[in-house]
Amino acid sequence: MLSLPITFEAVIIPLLLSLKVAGLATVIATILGVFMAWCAAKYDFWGKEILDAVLTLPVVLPPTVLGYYLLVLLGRRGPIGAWLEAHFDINLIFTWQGAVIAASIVAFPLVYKSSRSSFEGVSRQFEDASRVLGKTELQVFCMITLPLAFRGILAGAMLAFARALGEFGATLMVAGSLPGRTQTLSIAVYEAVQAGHDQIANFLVIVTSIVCIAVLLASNYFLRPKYRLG
Amino acid sequence: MRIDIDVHQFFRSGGHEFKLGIKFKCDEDITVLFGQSGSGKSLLLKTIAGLQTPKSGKILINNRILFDSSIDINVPSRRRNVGYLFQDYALFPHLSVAENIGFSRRSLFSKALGKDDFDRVQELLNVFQIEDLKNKYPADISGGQRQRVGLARALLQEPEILLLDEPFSALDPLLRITMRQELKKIQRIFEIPILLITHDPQDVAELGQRLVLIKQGSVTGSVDLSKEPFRDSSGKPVRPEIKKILLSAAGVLNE
Repeated sequence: MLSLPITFEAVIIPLLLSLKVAGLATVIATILGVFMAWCAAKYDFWGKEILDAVLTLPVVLPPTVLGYYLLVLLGRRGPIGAWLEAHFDINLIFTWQGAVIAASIVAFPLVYKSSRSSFEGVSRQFEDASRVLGKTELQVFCMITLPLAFRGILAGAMLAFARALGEFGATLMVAGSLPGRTQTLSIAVYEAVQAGHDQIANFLVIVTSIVCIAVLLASNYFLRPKYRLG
Repeated sequence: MRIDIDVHQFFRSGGHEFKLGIKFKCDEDITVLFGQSGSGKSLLLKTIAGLQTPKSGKILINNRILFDSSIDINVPSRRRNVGYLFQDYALFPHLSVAENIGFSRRSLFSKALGKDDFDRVQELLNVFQIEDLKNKYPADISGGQRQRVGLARALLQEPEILLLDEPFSALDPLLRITMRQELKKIQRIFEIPILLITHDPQDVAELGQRLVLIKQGSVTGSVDLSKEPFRDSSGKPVRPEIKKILLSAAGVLNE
């Protein structure tokens, strides 16, 4: 069987691309996820639980179905894609930016769910106490709610990063597998196996595993309790 | 008049209706609101602090209007300048004792306080004899110590009144005796009016100068306990056995 040498192009480039895509996707998913979770935890409005179900959908839908939705929405003839092309001359399909969007959506529910239960776990009494102590709503959020919910949010963000790093189906449908441009680590593994490049496949698999283990170890380290709640 | 309250609110939850209609005035150093659980005492305290908005009425503390529905005034919680001690003290678990006490004066971005505020925190740590706890976290100190921290935190912002929500219910009986004496001392040192709610007759007997009785959301009596024989709000002496009743039977008192 043919085996190619492990080159810079074959390993480092997909790795860097994966880290870039997963990192940006985590930032986007965390900002949106925390915001939506805070709204869901604080306000009651009609259709809240329906919205919650829709926001959680990406975690249960098959990634290919999600990828198909994205293609329909973001494609040249899709409502968002056509608008972006007409006004900004932007095309997201088969670009790494498209991969970021796919990974963000797949990772979003992990941050959202985890943040929402953290926010709901912050006792209202702490927020009331700081209001009486003269704090504005923004100060209450930044000084009490956010620090008390921080561990849950961080745990969600870490899982989101790991999920985004492993994202395959939706990314492949939206961004394709263009070596050096949209071929992320997980897609490169698939391509290497398909092409029979076992040596590269082995190496990529090991690199991916090490990165994922490092993320999980880091999250455990950051999530050590610093104070007791009891 | 230090406290002048007349508030009305209506609650409905799960088929139950609850009407709160509380009106009283008082001028004593320590006023005790006495009533059973579910009589609306806690709701009233939250309403005074601005954490609940009544449907109508007025709230005046030291002649300052905090709420008046007739002229559309509703001062937000953060500007009411009331000290509030929650039932389980609500100390912030992620902040140390000193950071908890200094909380009302700290800015959004830094835990550090200005020189004057830092000195005030030190002073309060000394007054409450909790200097050696200042770097500990709330989970690592005892119930009585937590109460001292809660009081110190409320007093740092120099409030116009202290609202205490069943302050001794979380403490063991022996500690209650000590903390009641401490509270009296604190009242004298800081010269601040105290409004305390309780369902423990012992609190009334040892602390109360004015007793306001609450039952099912309304005031059923107001008694001046400062001079014998006790007089009710219309100036008539109350029955001599009332003190006995106060001491013995919380359940019977409101009948």
